[in-house]
Amino acid sequence: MRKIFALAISDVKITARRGEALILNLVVPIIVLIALANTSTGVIRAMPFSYLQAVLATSMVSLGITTGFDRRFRVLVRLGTTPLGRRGLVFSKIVSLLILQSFQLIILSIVGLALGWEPELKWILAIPLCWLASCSFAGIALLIAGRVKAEANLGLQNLLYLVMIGIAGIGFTETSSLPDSVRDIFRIIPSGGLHSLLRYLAGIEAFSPLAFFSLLFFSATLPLIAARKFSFDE
Amino acid sequence: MNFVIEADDLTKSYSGNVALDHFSLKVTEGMIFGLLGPNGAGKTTAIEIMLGLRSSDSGSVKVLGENPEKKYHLIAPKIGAMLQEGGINPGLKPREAVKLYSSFYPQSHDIDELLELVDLTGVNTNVRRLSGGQAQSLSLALAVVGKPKLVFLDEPTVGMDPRARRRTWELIKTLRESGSTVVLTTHLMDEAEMLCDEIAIVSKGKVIVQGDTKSLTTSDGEEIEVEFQNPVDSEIIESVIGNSFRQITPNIILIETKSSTLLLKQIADIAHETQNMVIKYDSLSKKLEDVFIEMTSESFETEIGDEQ
Repeated sequence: MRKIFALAISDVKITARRGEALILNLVVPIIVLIALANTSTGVIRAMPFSYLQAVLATSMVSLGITTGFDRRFRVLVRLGTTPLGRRGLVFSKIVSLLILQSFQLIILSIVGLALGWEPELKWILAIPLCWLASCSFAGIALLIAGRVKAEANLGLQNLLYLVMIGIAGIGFTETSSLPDSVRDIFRIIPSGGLHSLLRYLAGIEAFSPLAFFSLLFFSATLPLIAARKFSFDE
Repeated sequence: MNFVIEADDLTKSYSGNVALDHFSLKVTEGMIFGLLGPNGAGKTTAIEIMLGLRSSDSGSVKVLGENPEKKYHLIAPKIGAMLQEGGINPGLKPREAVKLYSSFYPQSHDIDELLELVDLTGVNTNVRRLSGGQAQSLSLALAVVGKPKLVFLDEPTVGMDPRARRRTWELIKTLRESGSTVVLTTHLMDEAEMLCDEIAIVSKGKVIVQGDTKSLTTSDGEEIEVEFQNPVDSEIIESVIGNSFRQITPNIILIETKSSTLLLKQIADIAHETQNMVIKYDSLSKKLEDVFIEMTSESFETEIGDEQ
């Protein structure tokens, strides 16, 4: 555990020093929140979506792209020769993003409160729920970053981000005219599942056991698959 | 004899290109072992297999008694590695990097002492801004921070200035003195000759010669080149030293001898008898570089011959 936390803390420090990471992980979600809160969507509905967007940006795009380039520059090969191991590497990456994400969601919540958001008490579960979802997204990000070349990884992570955010956006808005069967399929997908559950915590829609158990399943399995399939070298 | 590495008949190809071709090697505990070979000879592939980073197509390898492909986690705490190119997160500072790596190992060197040893004390800039030599020094520090039993150093002194190079050599010798085994890959023959107890020369994916450095660089007899000021009659030379010489010019002779002390006396006798002066006396004993070029070109020629 000491090894995993040491690398996780080191990764958090490095991310905090990178300006572009702060923009992606913090500035963009805040802008999305402010923009949506000032439309007909309103701050109550904007909060679940901006949480989802922030989680996806950190857990998938940011993690996936930096891991891909660490792999390109043989940082991971070097780490692979230490007692950290493949599993230690994957889990320390996940721990680092959970730390980053906690800060990110707290700041988003402060901005939301400043915009007049009045959350229900159950919203407190949003952070552990986001942690859970992060494990799924990180699993996907590391599975891709650990198998393909850095440039292809960059493209794939961005494409997947658009697909994930699209599923969550199209499937779970008030204007969505999708049939329930399609919505249920969307709930199985981690981004759809997370958005649905966040909307439940915000008091917008009913609790979906399908979304929760799907998310639980993917969060438990995807990091393990990533750890098994991860290759340190391109 | 305790072997820390036993590689037997390893083969490895990348999309049809042979990287290792029945590569076999044994490294004894406690020595500095040099792995030499031209670019693309397969040294790095061999090291990466020994570090569990790659799997071989066939053959077997044991490092510290375990198969690194399957049980690297068991031996990782006893292994340090300095690989070629990068490998350190460019956003870290030297002290942070050493501290991070020290946390991976069950026991570790004092961070400040180690930074002083590699001359990085007070260097507070990100890895991306370090000079080539400083980055190499940091990479070396990361390889040894965990007090490893076995250290792989791939081209450790590339990009270093002469002072840093000497400091690195001292550090490598200290590792041996403390009981570690060092596997050193280098293109610098003087480095290998000075540091290595044993050497293997790799060419076209296989070990073409392995032996202790001394025996590789010493032939049965030493060849001495002697130049006299004036021409010398070959009959006089033969009468003093027998027929183990070749006269290159009337003034220059090449003599093969097993005793340079006796030869010195014989040369003095010839000079005295011919009222001559010796103006040059040079040993032409083989340098490691000669052995390397000889062996790798032999391997190359054999291959060309086979192809024809």
